[in-house]
Amino acid sequence: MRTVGHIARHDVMRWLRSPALIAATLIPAVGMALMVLALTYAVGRQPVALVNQSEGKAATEIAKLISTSDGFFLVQRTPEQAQKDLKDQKVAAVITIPPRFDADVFTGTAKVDVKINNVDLDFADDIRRSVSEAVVAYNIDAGRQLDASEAAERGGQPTNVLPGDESVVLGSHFHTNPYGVSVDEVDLRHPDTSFLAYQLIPVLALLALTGGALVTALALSGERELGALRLIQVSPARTVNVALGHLVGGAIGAVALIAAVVIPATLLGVLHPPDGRWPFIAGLLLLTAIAATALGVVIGILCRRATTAVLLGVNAVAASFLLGGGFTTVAFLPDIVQQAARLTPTYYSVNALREAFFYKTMIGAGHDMAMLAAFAAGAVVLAAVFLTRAERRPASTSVTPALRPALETS
Amino acid sequence: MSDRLRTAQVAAGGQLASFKRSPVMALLALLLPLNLLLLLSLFALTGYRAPTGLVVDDNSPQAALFVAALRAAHHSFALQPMTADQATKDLKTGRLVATIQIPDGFGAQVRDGDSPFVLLTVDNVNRDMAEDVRRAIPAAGAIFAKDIGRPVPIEPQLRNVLSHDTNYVEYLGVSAIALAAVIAGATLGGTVVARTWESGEDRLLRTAPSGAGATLLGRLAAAWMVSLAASLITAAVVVWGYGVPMRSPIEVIGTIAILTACSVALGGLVGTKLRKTLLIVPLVVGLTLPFYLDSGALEPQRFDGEKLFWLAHLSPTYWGVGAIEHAFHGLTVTPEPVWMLLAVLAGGTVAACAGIVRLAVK
Repeated sequence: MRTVGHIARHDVMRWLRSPALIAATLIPAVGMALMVLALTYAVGRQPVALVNQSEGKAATEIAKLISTSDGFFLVQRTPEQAQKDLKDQKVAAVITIPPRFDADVFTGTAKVDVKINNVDLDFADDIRRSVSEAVVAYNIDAGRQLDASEAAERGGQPTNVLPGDESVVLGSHFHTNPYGVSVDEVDLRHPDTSFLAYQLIPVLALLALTGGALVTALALSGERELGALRLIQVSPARTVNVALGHLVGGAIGAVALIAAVVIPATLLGVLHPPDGRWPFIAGLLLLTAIAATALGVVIGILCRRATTAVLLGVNAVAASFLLGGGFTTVAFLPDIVQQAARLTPTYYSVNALREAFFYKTMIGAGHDMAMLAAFAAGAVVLAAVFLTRAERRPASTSVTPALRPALETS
Repeated sequence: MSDRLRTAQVAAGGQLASFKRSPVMALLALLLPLNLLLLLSLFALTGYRAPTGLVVDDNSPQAALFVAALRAAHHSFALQPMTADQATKDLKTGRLVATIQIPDGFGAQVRDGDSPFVLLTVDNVNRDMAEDVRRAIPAAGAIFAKDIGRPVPIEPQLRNVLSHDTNYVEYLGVSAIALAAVIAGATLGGTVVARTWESGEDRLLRTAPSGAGATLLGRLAAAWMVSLAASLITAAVVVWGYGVPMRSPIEVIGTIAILTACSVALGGLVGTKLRKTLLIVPLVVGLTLPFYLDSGALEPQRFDGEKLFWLAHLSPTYWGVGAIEHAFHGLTVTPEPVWMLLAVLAGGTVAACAGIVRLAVK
């Protein structure tokens, strides 16, 4: 146990004493976390200009409906201003309510004109759907329902809607609507989980992954550059203990990173899983960190220079994070991608974390936890095998100068 | 040929030989952008068509028409016909965004002039996808009403600025080429220059008759060639792997060449300041990834607000994405014209090279 403790302490202290190593570990994780954050701005509401050329009652009502839709960031414009904004890409679409709108409503031929900058299908479809939602809401009940459902989705109480119609997204329980179909909506939770919250949970797995993999990889490649790896291997210490030492060191680094984020986030109320789930979540993150150290051991042994270890490490961490569901929902991807995702520990970690944070019952989390434990156990074996094989490989002749101070102090 | 040019040429040749002798760094620099391209494309695959369980308990033509309306509702649903039990199970295990159940007797009620209820169950664990589904239902309702001949007082009249939509994979795949060029260029440029300081060569180079600048620029030229090759391979994957057509191949190659040159030069400038190879890759990746999403990679950047729009101008990725979307699809995704995008990248290259030469003699 002394060997394990010494090596773990050695790895952690080397990391803590070198700002370059800390930066090399933290910056990719921060970059990927910021990427996830930036994604929340890129989806959701679209900027749209509204040109209301009519002062009639129907025009006013539909303009109000469009302006309360949470699909748009709406600005009121004159026709000329709106065209200029569309050209300058200040808005993605222009919605025009024409001058004869109320008269046309009376004759049943009214049109709301929508001109979309359809440079990309995704946001163009968002706008098409949101416009349809507003128009349909007007046609059904002069807009009362949309207001109510928007309030309900945000956790507020539905208002101004007939009792019994709160869950209706199209039509009404009390009168026939012109569309020939009504739709009742049942949500699995109330209120909705925000896109930001949904996307931020995988960042916890990312921290465990980055900390575990890069701390270990840098420690091992540093030892290799110095030739210390060979010295350790001719010492009486057993290879398994050396491997365990590196694994514990990497896991401590990862846990430190996770704690630095999770504790303040919890105190600030950003993370709030259902009661009693924290021990499970802590176990999940710890197992993710241990499994990630296996990756770190492989990278550290394969690379002769710390610079190459970082490059390979970032490649591996990015692949594991993105393939494991860090940026999307793996269950919605093609089968072949899902099969590939199951080869990464991040897949099980992200799945189980999302289930622990957002679902009432955890159906698959036990299986995911078991898979992570298997990855962690494999880490110890893999680390021992690779360390044994590393003995046969020559050490690099040059030491990366960035590592020198850290290596010397350790 | 002037001495400096000859020095630069020899330095470029030496650097290329170095890349060939120890190819791991160059190969990994090639692998990283390819890796990111493939993995970010996964996001595009889930960008639309929410996986939705469809339970149809009615065999009428009206039910079939409603299903057709759901399919036609602006690329909103990937409908998967299944039993009610399977739908419930898949929804609760996160395999579906929603389920839609059309009840028995649906067609008869529609024929009678009623508006029968369809049950939509949503796993609203991700508001973005849940909202897409909710908004798509009225759109499907409007299509259904038209198909069965029910008049409605108001209809949206949808018009497009462009003659056709560019789908998400085509758009995002092309923007990922810009990401590849920036990451490959900045990584190799930064590493090549930083290694000069790490190895202590800088002191020797300063005593050279043609100065350190010519040697560094020569090495950066070699880094540019390798990163250009890496970026072109990424572009080839997009063109032949994803089937994205090129409107103008010459413009594509020219844009990638200029963007890569700018990235190599900026990476070199960072390397001159940092002087540590260990930090180059984390810094390049850490800065480039968030700026990639703040560059018009998913949609024209100005749609995300003025602050993010102006912030995006700091990154070469913004200028590169604008130019390359034009080269591939003829799209205008920035308010700036294409010539300005390319001019800024070229100007950035020259300025960064001047900065490297200036810092090299200090």
